[in-house]
Amino acid sequence: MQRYIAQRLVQAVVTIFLMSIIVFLMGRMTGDPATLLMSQYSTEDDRIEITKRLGLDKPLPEQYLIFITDALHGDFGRSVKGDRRPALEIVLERLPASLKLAAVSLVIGLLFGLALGITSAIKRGSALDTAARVFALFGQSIPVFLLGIVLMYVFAVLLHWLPTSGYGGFKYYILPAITMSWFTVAAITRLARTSMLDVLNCEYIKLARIKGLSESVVILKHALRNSLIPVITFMGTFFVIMITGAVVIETVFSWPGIGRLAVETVMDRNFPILQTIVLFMTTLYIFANLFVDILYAYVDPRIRYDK
Amino acid sequence: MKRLRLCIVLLGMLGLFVGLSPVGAQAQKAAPAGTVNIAISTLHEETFLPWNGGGPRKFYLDNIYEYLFYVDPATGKAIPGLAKKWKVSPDGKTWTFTLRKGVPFHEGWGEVTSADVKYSIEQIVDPKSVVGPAGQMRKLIAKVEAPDPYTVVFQLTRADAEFDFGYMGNSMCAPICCKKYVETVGDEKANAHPIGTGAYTLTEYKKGSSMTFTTVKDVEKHWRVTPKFKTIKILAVPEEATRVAMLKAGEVDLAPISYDSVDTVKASGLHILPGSFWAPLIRFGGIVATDPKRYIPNIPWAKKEVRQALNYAIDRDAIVKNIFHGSAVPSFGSISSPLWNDIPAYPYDPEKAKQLLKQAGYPNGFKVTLKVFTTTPGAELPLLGQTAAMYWQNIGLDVTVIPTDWGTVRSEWSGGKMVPDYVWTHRGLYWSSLNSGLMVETTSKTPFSSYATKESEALFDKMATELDAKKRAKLAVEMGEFLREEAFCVGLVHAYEPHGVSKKITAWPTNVLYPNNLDQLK
Repeated sequence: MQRYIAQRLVQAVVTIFLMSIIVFLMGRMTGDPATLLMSQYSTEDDRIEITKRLGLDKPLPEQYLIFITDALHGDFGRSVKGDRRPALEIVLERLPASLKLAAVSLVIGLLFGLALGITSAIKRGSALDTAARVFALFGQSIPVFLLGIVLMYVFAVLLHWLPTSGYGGFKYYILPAITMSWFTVAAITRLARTSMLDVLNCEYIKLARIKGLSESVVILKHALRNSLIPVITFMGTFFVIMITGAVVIETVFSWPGIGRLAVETVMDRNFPILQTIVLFMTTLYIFANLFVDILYAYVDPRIRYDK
Repeated sequence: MKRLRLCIVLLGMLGLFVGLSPVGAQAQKAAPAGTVNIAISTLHEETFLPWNGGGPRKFYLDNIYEYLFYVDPATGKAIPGLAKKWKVSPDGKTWTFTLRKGVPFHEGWGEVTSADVKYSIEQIVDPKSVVGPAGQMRKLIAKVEAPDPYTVVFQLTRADAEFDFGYMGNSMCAPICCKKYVETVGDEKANAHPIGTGAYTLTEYKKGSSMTFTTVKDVEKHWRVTPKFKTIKILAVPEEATRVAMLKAGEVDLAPISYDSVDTVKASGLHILPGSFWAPLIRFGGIVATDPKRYIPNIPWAKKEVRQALNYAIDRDAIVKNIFHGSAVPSFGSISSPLWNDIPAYPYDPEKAKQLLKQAGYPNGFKVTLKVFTTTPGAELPLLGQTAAMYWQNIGLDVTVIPTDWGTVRSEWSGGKMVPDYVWTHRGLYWSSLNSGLMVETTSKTPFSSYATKESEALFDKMATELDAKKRAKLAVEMGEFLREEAFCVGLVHAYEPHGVSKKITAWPTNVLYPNNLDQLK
């Protein structure tokens, strides 16, 4: 197990390193950030000065070396716009909003996904099962942009029950969290249903029933725990997807998280912030996967990664 | 007919201004009340010192800070602001401003003096400053002097007949800050808690989300304006569909929307007011003839006849009707000036376009790449590009439309590493004065030039330094007619970004030069 973890850590470092090169190059290949800092009144001297100030006049390998060396020391550069605050500071400022939304969405996703999935499995073939399967299908196929706008128009514009968008108290979480968790509810429903059906077909469940245990005890005590293993292992991934994939939802609901910050920085070619966000997201994703793999091994004793 | 419509639109705009100049605003003396909520697509850099970000921040900075001059809505000329009078030397290089006495900074930080003006301008022209006009002002301003507390003298490196409102007016981003305050508390704190002389002060700021401004104490006695609303809340709402939903839900009172949303917003009982001016057009790459690095002599549109043909090929009336729902006027270029009201846009004449192409040696047309992208405002730019491509195909051109993004085109246009050998849609640029607009649009003095010839540069130099108002006006008309004849770009329309507005707001006096006067919302 230790060897496996060590191998995965090395892979993670290599992946992050390669990603840092890709992000670094892409930030520069799609446009000269110096020109985006210039106004229409700027002069050629301004362009030269900005290029020099941002270090863009240096050869690309040298620029990358400076970037990666500084990054290893926790310095991800400064925003190229405004008062040039540290990029990491700006990203960390926006992170709590994304984390809170992702956490609320994950809770909704788990509660509704598990409830629907397990009930659907237990009541296999019933109207409820059919409804859950239809929901799971549509839940995974409807674009979040569309869903967000529809929910906004129904609950904010027509019914006036909730605010359309914005960042604030509990009521501001409801629409973006439902939109964000929609896909997760659908995914967990399918996952939990399939898993529960597998477990319910196992010999030890049949044995429990033959022993005369009540159906509720069979489900809750013997089947539920094992059926949750695949769901638990996906939780970490879901959570990271919710943070990293919040670009559209944060834009639609004017949520000041890192997803929206990513969009803004792409438009502005604010490459130090963009690099920080992408590296942060990549690292988060890699380590969430690693954590899940390890967790999986501990939760299910049948699984061992060592040869 | 087009001239008449243009005049009606402009007169309509001017009509909104009556009583809204700094002097006229004094008539409005009722105490401010209530809150106006405004949704805009971005809060930009979210910095509050003028020199720490770009000009678009004026939308919120102008609640806090004020200017030496304001734009006269009727004439487009400078009228007194923090400077109550001024004179210019015969050579146009020395401008002496006399400041209004007794204008207080917020929170008891003293009154505005020449030291504050000198300090503010010196910060703006500092090499570290990133505010829009800094580059030009560095070149233009040789020295700022403060011989006494109420006199400021600007020594310029060259004559500029529009220095007053062109650089020091409210259409530019050079407002006056409190020297004592910034030096006492430092840039960081002054940025977090800005102090100006405006009718509002920043009272709440949520990063990436909202800014709230509240009227200052005794605002009824403010020297320039008594606002209608006690509180202005500006929210960052990047998605247009969300802004429309917020308007419909009654959550905001003012928000920019697309032309396609105008009908749905009106149907909800809201009304539409014009906001920022924009002038969508198609620019030609490689025709800055006075700069060999930005000139491609053998590109088809280097010939005037070809540029004229591409202009004649487009039916601007159809564009106004179908894309702008009638809320725009055809134009021949990106700059708007009342002096050019009588210069018409190119009429739709495809036969003449074909004839001009033949005359230029392209009877069978040629291949052209047209790059399109969206901006804010400018959601309609790709559609405008597709439309132009369709019209050009009708006269025999082989047009390839490439969707891209503004950042990429901007880099290629102004980055100095390549000459664009294509044409591209553009939303037009915002100009504080005719001088500054023409300098970029018709000379090779800046990286954002897209057309220049020896003739255009000579005409510009003559006009920019002419101090006699009548002669300047005549030269400006001459310049406009020259540019129209040259077909320096494919001008499409002049329009104002539509804003959905609740019943709480009855008027918003914007014009080409100044869409940031939230303190004058009625």
